Amino acid sequence: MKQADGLQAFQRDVDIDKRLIGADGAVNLRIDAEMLATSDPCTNDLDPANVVAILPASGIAFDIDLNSVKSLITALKLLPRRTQILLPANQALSEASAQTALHLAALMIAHGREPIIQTSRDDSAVAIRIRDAEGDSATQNAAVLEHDNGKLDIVIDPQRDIVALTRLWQLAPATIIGSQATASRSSAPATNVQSTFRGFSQLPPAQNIRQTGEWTLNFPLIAEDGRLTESAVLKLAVAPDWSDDPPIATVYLNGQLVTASRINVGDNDIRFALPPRMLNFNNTLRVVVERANERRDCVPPTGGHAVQIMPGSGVTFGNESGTGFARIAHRLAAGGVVILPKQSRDPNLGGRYILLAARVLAAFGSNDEAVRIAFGSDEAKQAPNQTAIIFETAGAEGLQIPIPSRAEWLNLQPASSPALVGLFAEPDGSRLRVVLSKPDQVPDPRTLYLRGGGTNALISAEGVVWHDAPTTITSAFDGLYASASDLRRFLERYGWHLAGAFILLFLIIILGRRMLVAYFRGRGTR
Amino acid sequence: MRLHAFIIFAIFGLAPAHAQTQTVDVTFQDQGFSNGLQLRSRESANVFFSLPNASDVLRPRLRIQGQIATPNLARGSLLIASTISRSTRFP
Repeated sequence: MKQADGLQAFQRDVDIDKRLIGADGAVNLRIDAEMLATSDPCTNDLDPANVVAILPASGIAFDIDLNSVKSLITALKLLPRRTQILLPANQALSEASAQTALHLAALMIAHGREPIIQTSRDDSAVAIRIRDAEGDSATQNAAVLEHDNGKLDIVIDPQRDIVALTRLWQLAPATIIGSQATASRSSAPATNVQSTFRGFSQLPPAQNIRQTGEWTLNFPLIAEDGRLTESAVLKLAVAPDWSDDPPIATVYLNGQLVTASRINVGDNDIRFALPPRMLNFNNTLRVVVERANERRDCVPPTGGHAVQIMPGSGVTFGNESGTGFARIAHRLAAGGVVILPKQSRDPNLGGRYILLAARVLAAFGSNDEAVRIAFGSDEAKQAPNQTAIIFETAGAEGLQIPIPSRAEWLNLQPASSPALVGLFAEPDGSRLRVVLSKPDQVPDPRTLYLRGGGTNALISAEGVVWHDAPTTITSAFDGLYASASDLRRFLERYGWHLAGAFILLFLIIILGRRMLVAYFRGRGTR
Repeated sequence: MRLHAFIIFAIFGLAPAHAQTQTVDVTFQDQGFSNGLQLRSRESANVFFSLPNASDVLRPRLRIQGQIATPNLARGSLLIASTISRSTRFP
């Protein structure tokens, strides 16, 4: 590297020795940048203006003979980012097939993939195909591999226990070895529902910090048993440094400051509440640790002293049931139903409905194994107590969105925009209405960021177009202030009129009194 | 005779190309780094890839594309190393 003004692009292609690939195909790349501003070892030689950016298109490429792939786990690793889920064509979509597609799609979206649900295969090397009902289910396998013309299909039998398969895939992918997978669900609950504490799923490694170090931690709003987050605890282990001042830890939740404090050398417990109004369905906690300048004659250019977030850090979940979307997600953890319209039994159309349902479930962080699919609006009437996501179509009047506070109804005619979807949560959390502006056009937004406390949202193909603010409870003081300011506004507008009316009233009283006095005085003297 | 030799050579030389291999690309974006990586002055990062078994993979290669801005640099280097992790299988 050399000093240069402006941006320099670089590209390197390197063959990887096969011995660098670990036992199960694991490759861990470590990328170290070292850009020193001066060669004097006794000065601060770090200049943050020196930057290396590695573009997201970088990566590892390899060739593979698909005919030699015999193991399901290898096939799963070869699935492209935009994975195809193929529905059985030429026959009405069954509940089992739809449910399988929903579970797979929601799982993939939750893991950052972009599934496509359709009926015709494109030219991608590996895809997932759902077996049609007439196909022979003589095999006992939930998933088998089928080679065809140099392409590879992972064929999944919707009649088998697909939930067990997806759970296995999610929890322990390396156990699915060989050309067949056998999985069954146990009746006992997998998690201890008594415990309200969940550790962070992935803890970042220790950092050697000279001045500032930064970590990000992700956690969901809703635990797998439906509980909502309440507070967090961070266990920070801090190595001593050469300064006399203790380091400072600052914690941001979704970009907003939640707590900051001095931390001691050794073990620290930082506990803080998570304000419900700042929480999304997926939350990011950013922890920044800043050390004081080291007091030595010569600060060596290498080093830094370790800080680590220790196991035992995590989130505590409470017993609140939440409002709006969070309340629906909370209830869906105990099971629910996605009700699709009758016309979506056509597999060419049904795939798009299922994909949108999977996006909503993934956005809710819903543990979707207890969610089933039903076709037709009669289903909703049969089980009125069940939590339901109901797909509807807007009538001739268009999609109507209730805007809170002063505004009236916003009418969006379906003709004015390509295709929109409204999400409306019922206040008791029993129903989520998904209203489509056009029945045959279902938008497929890549990302769906919903806030936990919101109740209404409008979605287009680009994502969330509009979202109402989480409902906030106004305190008594706010109410008093609001009424005082109303009075002031009233006086500013009508103050002179009011004063005039008072003066007029005053004059009438004075004059009337005079007249009455004069009248009675006249009678008395008569 | 020379032509025959050329044809034989061509058949044998091209034979491996007829084996149906597919090129698979796994990018940083697929591994969750949707904006890539930004490293300032002295920083490091780890990117984990889960490839098929080494015996199934042919000709693995690494492609790094990036951009560097070094307005104030005395000396610098960028190191990309592979650290083999132990088996991550569940017991």
